Amino acid sequence: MRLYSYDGPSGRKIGEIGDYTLYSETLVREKSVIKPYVTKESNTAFNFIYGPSTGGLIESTLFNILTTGESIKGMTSDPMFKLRELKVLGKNVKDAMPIIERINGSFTASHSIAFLGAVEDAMEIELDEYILMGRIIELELERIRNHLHVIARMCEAAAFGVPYNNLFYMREKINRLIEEYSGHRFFHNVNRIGEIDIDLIGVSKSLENICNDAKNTYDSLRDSKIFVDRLLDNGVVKDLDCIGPVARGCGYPYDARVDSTTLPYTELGFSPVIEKGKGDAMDRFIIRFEEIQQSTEIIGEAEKRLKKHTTRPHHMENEGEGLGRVESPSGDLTYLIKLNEGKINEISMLTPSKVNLPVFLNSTRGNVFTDFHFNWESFGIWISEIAVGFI
Amino acid sequence: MDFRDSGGFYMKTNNWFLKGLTKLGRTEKFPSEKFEAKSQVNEKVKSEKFMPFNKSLHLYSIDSGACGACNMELQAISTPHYDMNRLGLFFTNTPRHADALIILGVHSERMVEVLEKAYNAMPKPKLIISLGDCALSGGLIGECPEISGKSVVNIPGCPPNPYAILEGIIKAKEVSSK
Repeated sequence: MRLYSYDGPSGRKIGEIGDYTLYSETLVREKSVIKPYVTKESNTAFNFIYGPSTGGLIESTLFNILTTGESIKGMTSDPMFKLRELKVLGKNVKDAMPIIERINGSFTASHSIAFLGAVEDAMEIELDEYILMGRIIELELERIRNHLHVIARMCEAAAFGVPYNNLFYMREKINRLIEEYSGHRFFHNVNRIGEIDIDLIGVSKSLENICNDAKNTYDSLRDSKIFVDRLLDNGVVKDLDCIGPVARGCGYPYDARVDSTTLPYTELGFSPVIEKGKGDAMDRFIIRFEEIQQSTEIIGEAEKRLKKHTTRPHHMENEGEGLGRVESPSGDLTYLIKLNEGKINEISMLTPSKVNLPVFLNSTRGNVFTDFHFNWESFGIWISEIAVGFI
Repeated sequence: MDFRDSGGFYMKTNNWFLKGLTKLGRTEKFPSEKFEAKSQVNEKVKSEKFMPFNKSLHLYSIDSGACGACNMELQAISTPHYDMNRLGLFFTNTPRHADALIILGVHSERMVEVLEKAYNAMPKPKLIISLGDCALSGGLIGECPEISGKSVVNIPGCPPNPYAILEGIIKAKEVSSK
């Protein structure tokens, strides 16, 4: 492992990965302490079950809401209804890749790049600039698509048909752009060990119109009293254990693009966008829109550094341990793997959805039922990357 | 002036919804020339069923164990490029109002009961559509849900394109009505 070491806590705490707790600079052999969720008993409160199958949620998950009828006194969740067990142990990296790509369809590029980052770390492979910049562009395209999706879902919760359709129209354009450049709408089969199979020259020009449309929609939504009223003071996060846009919405500059060396974002002059507000759904909404603009700029900068790619033979170790960490659209995404004779011997994963789910549950206390969807969508949590295990 | 100032709200003259309404239609024609239909009719189920879905069809989807890609593509058919409503297709929020149950993802133990309860709650006539390779065969991940054997139409793909989904749902409607 070239980039991380087993040591005491150093840097910001990210979350639990396998038997360890990951900090931004070290891996510590301790289980991350999950704060017990305490709900005050009340004679008048009752449990309201929402899920696992509802029209309001994209994925199957269950929420157990303690309520007195309108206000939410507390909430627990059971995300394991759709548990999938993925057979990757004992497989070689090439065979495992298609399965890793299907952990979370919305974050395919993030999962495959973080996984390959860990593999390349274990195999001690050096990557050239074309591959690094290509992967940065993939991640930023995925971020733009995801942020558009999240904000559109928030508009849907407010029954705002016009911005909802505008945003999904833009998301579809991004999907088609990704398909045009990579051959697949979800980046399947694009990333491989030490290489990428995608030619991204010209992609930033195609993004200009989408970015301008997004800016107009953002301005309109910020001017809408009805919309802003639904987000302000909704789902206030006071928890330091959050990551991704949720943390940046609370004013914490937590971003793997700064403190992970898997990809050279800092060479592109990157610094994270933060919002020093209350840490509510409005702040997360603002962060996501601003990151769309920022990602467009990063893609422009990265494209300038794309040079003609020449495939060269890589020196590859068959055994080793590696860690790969990228900033997925919802936060730090990390893989820790051990390879033995080129096959996966051990694998652990840290996903932003798993880290942020307890933070979401804590943030719902004091809200009312109608706040639930705005708050839930603003976190950008995907159950598919929580309800998953490796066998 | 910031929208948070004085604890109140700042609102400019707002005509964004009018701007949206005055834009030209963005829905595309179905790309019949270059589109290769891939959905398959389950002949066994087809021969058993006769369902008069001549007009609209209300859809309820359940994620049994999907990665999220099929969920996103299914949701995309309601967006402006595809506009399912013009074809008489609508999503509903409860199986009690649904004509068709769309299954996404692989078999997962705890979703078996959920799928069965939802199917039993649907009024007759009713049909099932399996969407995506996972729901059809288990794909690369596992096994398909048992209930997907009752599907009238299978829509393959990982994930299927929104046009393929529309084509498959329309085929299910037509097959059931014959």
